[in-house]
Amino acid sequence: MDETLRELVSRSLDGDLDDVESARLEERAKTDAELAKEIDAARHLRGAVAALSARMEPPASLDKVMEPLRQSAPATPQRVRSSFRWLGAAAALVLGVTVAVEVARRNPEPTLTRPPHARPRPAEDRREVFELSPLPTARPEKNRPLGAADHLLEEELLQPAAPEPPPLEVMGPLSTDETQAVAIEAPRSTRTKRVSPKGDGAETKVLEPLDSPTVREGFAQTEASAAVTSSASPKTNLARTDEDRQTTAGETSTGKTERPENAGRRQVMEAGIVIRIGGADVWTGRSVTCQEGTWLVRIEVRDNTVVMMEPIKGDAESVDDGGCRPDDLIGSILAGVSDGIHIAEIVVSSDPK
Amino acid sequence: MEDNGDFVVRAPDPAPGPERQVVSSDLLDRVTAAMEELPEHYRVVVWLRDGEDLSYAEIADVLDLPIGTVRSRLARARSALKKAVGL
Repeated sequence: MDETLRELVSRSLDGDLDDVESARLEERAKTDAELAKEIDAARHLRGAVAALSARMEPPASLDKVMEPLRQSAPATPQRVRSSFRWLGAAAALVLGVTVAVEVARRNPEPTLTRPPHARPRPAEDRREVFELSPLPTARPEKNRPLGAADHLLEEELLQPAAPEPPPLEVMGPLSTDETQAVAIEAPRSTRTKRVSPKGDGAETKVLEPLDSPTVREGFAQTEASAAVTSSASPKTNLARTDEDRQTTAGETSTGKTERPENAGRRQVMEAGIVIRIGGADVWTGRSVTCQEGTWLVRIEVRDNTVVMMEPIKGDAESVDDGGCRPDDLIGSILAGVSDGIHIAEIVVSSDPK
Repeated sequence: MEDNGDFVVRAPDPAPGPERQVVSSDLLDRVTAAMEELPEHYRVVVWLRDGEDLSYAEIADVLDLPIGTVRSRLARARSALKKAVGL
């Protein structure tokens, strides 16, 4: 058999012949017994080699040429040798099972299977019954151990309730030029004393009609106008006693830290504090330690007492130490200042006038 | 898959549809011995075609050979194998 015919037979085994070549080979095989036998033997041998690949190691030189083929296996998986496919599948299976077992071991989930000792639940007993117990903080009980937070809550709950504020006495509108004296309770704060203008020792508050000149003047006060409504000497109306000042200093001088913006500002020991309205000193006092400076505040005066003081700008925001904060000056009794809102100047210095 | 000493194998193609052949274990032994005696360049192309079921084009690509060389080399390899097996 010549070389060309042998190649045609080989190609016919692999389906490499076109229709014309295939037809011619078949026609010739019908009349050529030797060719027919050659085709049959080649087909038999081809099957044997295919079976052989399952139990025979591939040629050594194939390791090099098969490497790129294995790398492209995902694109042409049908081309990879079956043994390699089985090997890959087995490795993937082992890896998957290992991961699954490990995940299940680390994240145990409640099983739905009934334990063997559990009796089957009757059909009418399908509902779950939950018993709600009160929260630990709902009803503090002496005999029950409480946590740290519960302890704090318990203390708060056991504190006596604050007394009810006295009922306000409602009065009708006052007519022009009418005044009315109303007795009021002494303030709880130990910082201030309220002195009756009458000097009889009773603590009273003088209410003036809305259209009175004093009230109108109070309403007219704005941030831009720091009008002085009284020029009485502040020295005769010292707001705080020594005891008051000590209390204030003790409250505010502990635990305070200087703000960064105060860096460079001098701290004044036994600082003198002056509240000045319209250039007149209406209150003087002392504190243990304050930051030296001057700042503007907006104050509200009721019954000669400072009931509100808030900083406007400047140094007021940085003065936060030693009882010199605006809040610390609330309760101070000013001398001859009418009720209303005023713009005041607070001066802290080592040598107050 | 072994069945009474014979192997039932699936032929790697060529015709449309799978073809089953029964190959005796004796033939397998002879083919094994013949394959080991084949020159390496013949054994490789036979293995790639019948063992790995690669197409001619793929064999040509893997071995970096012209596809005509693959055809002729495979035909000679099969002829030599047939001769060695005694078919």
